[in-house]
Amino acid sequence: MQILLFVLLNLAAFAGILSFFWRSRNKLKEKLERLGAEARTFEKSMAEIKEARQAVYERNQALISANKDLEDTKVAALNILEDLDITKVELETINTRIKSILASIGEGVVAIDENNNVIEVNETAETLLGFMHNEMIGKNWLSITNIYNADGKELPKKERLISKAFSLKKMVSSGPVSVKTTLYLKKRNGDKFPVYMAVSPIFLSGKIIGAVLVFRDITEELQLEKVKADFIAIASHQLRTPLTAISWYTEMLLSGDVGKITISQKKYLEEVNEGNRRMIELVNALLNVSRLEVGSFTVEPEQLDIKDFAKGVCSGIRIDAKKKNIELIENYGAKIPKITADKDLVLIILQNLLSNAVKYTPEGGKVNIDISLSGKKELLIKVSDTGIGIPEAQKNKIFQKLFRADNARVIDSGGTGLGLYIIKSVLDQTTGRIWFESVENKGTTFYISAPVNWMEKKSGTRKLSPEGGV
Amino acid sequence: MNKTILIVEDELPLLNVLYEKFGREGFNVLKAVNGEEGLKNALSNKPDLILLDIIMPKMDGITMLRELRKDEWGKSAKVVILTNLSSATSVDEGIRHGVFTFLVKTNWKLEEVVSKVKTLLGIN
Repeated sequence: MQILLFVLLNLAAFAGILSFFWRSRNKLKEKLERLGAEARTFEKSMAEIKEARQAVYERNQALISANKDLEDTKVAALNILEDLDITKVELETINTRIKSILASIGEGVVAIDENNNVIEVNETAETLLGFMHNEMIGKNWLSITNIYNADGKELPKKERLISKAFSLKKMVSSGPVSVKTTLYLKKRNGDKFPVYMAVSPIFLSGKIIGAVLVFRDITEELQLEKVKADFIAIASHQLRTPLTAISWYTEMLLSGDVGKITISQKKYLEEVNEGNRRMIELVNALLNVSRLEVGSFTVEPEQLDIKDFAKGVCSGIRIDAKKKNIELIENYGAKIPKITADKDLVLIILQNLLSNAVKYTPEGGKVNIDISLSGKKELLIKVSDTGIGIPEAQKNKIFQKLFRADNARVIDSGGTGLGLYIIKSVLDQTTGRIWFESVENKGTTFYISAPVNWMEKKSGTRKLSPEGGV
Repeated sequence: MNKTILIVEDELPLLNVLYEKFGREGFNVLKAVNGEEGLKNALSNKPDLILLDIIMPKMDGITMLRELRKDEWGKSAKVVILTNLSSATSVDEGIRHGVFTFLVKTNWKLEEVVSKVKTLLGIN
């Protein structure tokens, strides 16, 4: 029994132990499972930490790089600052230079922006206009002064040089906008003074951002011009008077009005007359040249029937042509409208060209005048001859003052060398053009091209004399 | 033909040769050596045509013309300006006073001056 009890007890104990072990095993198992879970969590954390470390590393690298960039930028900034310092000095130098240049200029200089507001003025402009620097800067130029023509009338907006300069579409190489007529600017006190003015637009990237106005007080120049014009007038009068006396008395003697003269006397008197005629031509031509050079000749345009007018000129020339048995042929195109031109100036041009053609064409030759319309509004005058032509080497000098080609001198030693110069000057001042084709010993053709609306009215001190050019 | 012309010219050689030429052509010729004399002569003799110089002592041609036009007869008197001064201002002034013929002496032969005067007087 005892043994059974012992066995039972042992069995109980074993069961207890077994149960303890079982519980312990379960606890262990739980622990192990928990440990496993913790280990997984740890692993995950470790991965995250690794990732984070990688991120930190990368960020660090980025920071290092950014820092380097910053360093570079700093160096660059320092360089720029250094450059800026240099530029600043350079700018100051340029600025000072510009200011001294502006201050030393005898002309008034005003810079305006595209809205006509004054950006800069120089001292001469201040003196001429009677305003201080700070009274003009930022102000509208048109509120400071205005521009007038010779009649004292304000220039219409479209004729103002600024408007013209601003209307330029692109940069032009022809220089600033200016006009040949005298303009007047108003001073602070209301007085007006004559100026020569030129306006240049300022371009930035192809766009007009303003303009520079340069003007000069020409009071003294006008006075001088007047003195010169008066001198020319008086000198011409004084020179012409004795020439007239010689001319008329010789004419009286030659006509036999005061008694019969011998053949020899007649011959000599004709020489006197011829010499005198040349002298008169020279005086007339010099007079015209002086007028052209002082720019003081008057242009009084009218509606002119060029065909009728040319016919009239030709009838005069035909007398000389006949003497040399030269055929003068006139051709006029159909439908030539009336042109706007000064009769005397057209006469100077036609007479000079035609009389040259006759003069330099040998006996029995031909002289042609063709007047036609080229395009719709361009007049083309062509005067051709079968004459001596212009030597190749002297073609570039033919329009020069007092120049005469060698072969022309041989034919007529008395020419003045002023006719073509005068024509060219008249055309230059009235929007016309002249050119020629010539072959020595074959002939010459002169072409003149001008708009139908050829000449604009211009007030001058003197009128050119048609008789004066040959 | 009994037309009378008055020549107003201060340069005696020119005055004399014109006087002679027009006389030979059958004109009655009156002479004056300055504008003042010319004006008096014109108003008292009322010539058919006046040949008038511009630059003259005492009274110049333009002043004489201006004075002449104030007179009832002088208002429409025929005047030819015969001068060596080819000045636009004097031409303008002349036109303003009804003169449309301007002859530059050096550019005109005596014969042409006579013929121009005859045309203006309707003689040719």
